[in-house]
Amino acid sequence: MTKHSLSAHQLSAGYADTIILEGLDFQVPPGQITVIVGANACGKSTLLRTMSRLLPPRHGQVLLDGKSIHRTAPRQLAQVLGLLPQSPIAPEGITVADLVSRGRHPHHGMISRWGRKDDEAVAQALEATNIVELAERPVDELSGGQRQRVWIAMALAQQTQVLLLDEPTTFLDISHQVEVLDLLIDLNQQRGTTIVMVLHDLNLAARYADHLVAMAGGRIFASGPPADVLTEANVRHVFGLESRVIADPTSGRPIMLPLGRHRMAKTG
Amino acid sequence: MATDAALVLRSSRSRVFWLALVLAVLVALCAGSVAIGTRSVSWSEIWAALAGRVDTVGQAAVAARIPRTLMALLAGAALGLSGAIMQGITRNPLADPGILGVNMGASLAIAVGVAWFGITTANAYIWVAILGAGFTAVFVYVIGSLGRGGATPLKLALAGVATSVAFASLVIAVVLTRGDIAGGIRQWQVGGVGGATFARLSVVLPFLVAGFLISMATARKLNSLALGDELAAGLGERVALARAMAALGAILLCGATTAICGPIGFVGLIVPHLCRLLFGVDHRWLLPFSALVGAALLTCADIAGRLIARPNELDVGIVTAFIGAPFFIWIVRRQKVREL
Repeated sequence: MTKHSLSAHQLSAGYADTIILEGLDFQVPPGQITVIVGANACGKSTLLRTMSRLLPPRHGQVLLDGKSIHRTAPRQLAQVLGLLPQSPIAPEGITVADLVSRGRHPHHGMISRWGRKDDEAVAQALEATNIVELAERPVDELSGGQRQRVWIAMALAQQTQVLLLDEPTTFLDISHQVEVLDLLIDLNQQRGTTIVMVLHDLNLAARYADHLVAMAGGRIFASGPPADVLTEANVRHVFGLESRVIADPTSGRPIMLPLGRHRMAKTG
Repeated sequence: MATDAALVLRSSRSRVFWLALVLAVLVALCAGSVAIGTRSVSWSEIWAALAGRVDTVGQAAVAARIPRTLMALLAGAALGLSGAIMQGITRNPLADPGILGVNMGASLAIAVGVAWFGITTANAYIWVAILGAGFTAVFVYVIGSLGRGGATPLKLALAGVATSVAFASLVIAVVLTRGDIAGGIRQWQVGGVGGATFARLSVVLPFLVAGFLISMATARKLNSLALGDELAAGLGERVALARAMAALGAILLCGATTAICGPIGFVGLIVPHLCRLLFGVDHRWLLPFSALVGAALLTCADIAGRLIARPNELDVGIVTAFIGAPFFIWIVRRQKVREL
């Protein structure tokens, strides 16, 4: 399977008269899970939006296999690069199967018919996300965790080699957060899908990332294996927070314990 | 896999059933529209008129009902379809060519055209109406998008209704000083299909066909727009282009219809809601069904208008307002007016 390479070069982007990203360079490791973390308004979502063609860059470019994504035909790009935004809209009354099958959109032109490959892609996506038995249910009736699995199934049905997700675990309770992240690891391991996502929870980010990226002030402050990036010094710089970082006894990954002003044990 | 295939099969079967049912109702309504009117006619006169004879008053009445029926079918289909598209583009359950003020924009353009520029031909009416409709659509969308939160359903509806009221008074202001055209404009503004002739039909038909084809070609685009602009873009859709193309189709349809029939409200509001309940949210089905059900509704309303006020008749625009206003209130009062 060929791995697609996605990278940003000297990227600047923003909205109206505010520049959010400034001269950012970013290389997405192919076939790995990259997690972007950072304080609010540090440019995480803007980076993801610019890398998925939602936002045109002011300067610099985003290259997919050496070609600028802003000069690629949208439908062609959508066959390789998938995006799950933070708050997609489920039309009222739509069934799970119908919603998931809309992920096939970029694989069809004006006149091409729904075919066997489409059926297979949808069935696989339903199975992979474990929602086969929900297929006929209206999306409105599902719980938040089930609904998020439906959206991921839709992204899977798109069958892209690269998948960008903007905070896929927002509004989910902790068990569903872990469930969604496990699902993304399965996808990465079984299909070799390159995954780039923004997460809020530093510990989950360190736990699930192959490659952790910490952003601050519109730039990448640190990137690399979680053990190198999630350090007390980096947390202080990126979030302005004093913390302890220790090794998670189950995964060996770093976990961050915030030090507030209260409830501290008085030990040296 | 098996459950999936069964699902697809079942839903397409039920759609074929509904399609057959709607077509059967349409045929019955066409027959009713030709047979029923303010004047009672015998079956032999109806047959004679259908065969092309207009020797008696009864036969002539029936002969006049044929283009009228076709006009009701076409206007209903155009309004139902353009309503479905406007609701799709704006993700707004309250969108409708009447409520968004687009029909009234077409009316104002025609009133101005008649009063100040002396337009007279049906063709000129249509072009002027389409221009007015397009301008108003953009105007209302911009007004409704101002302020926080962008174009929410209620803000858009408010902007549309306010524009509609303002334009309606402007129409009166334009026409008031012109006694020579006031009667004609006022009658046209009620909205009716009573004056339809084959000549007028043939003028409006190319515009409706073009609008219909453009609209149908946007079904898949509307399906992706329904998931939100960001996801639609992620699925490879050119969002702005898709919106503009669908809007062009809708404006051709309701502008041309308004030029010939006057502003007929509420068909574009009711029909897509009904169709979504019955046939689901897939625009590839929703659009053609909205056209068919719109044709049925307007034909039915036209027949009702001939029966209610015998020996006079009620224009179809008044009948649809009576059906549509309570329906509008029901939609607004549902627990939350959510975006589609």
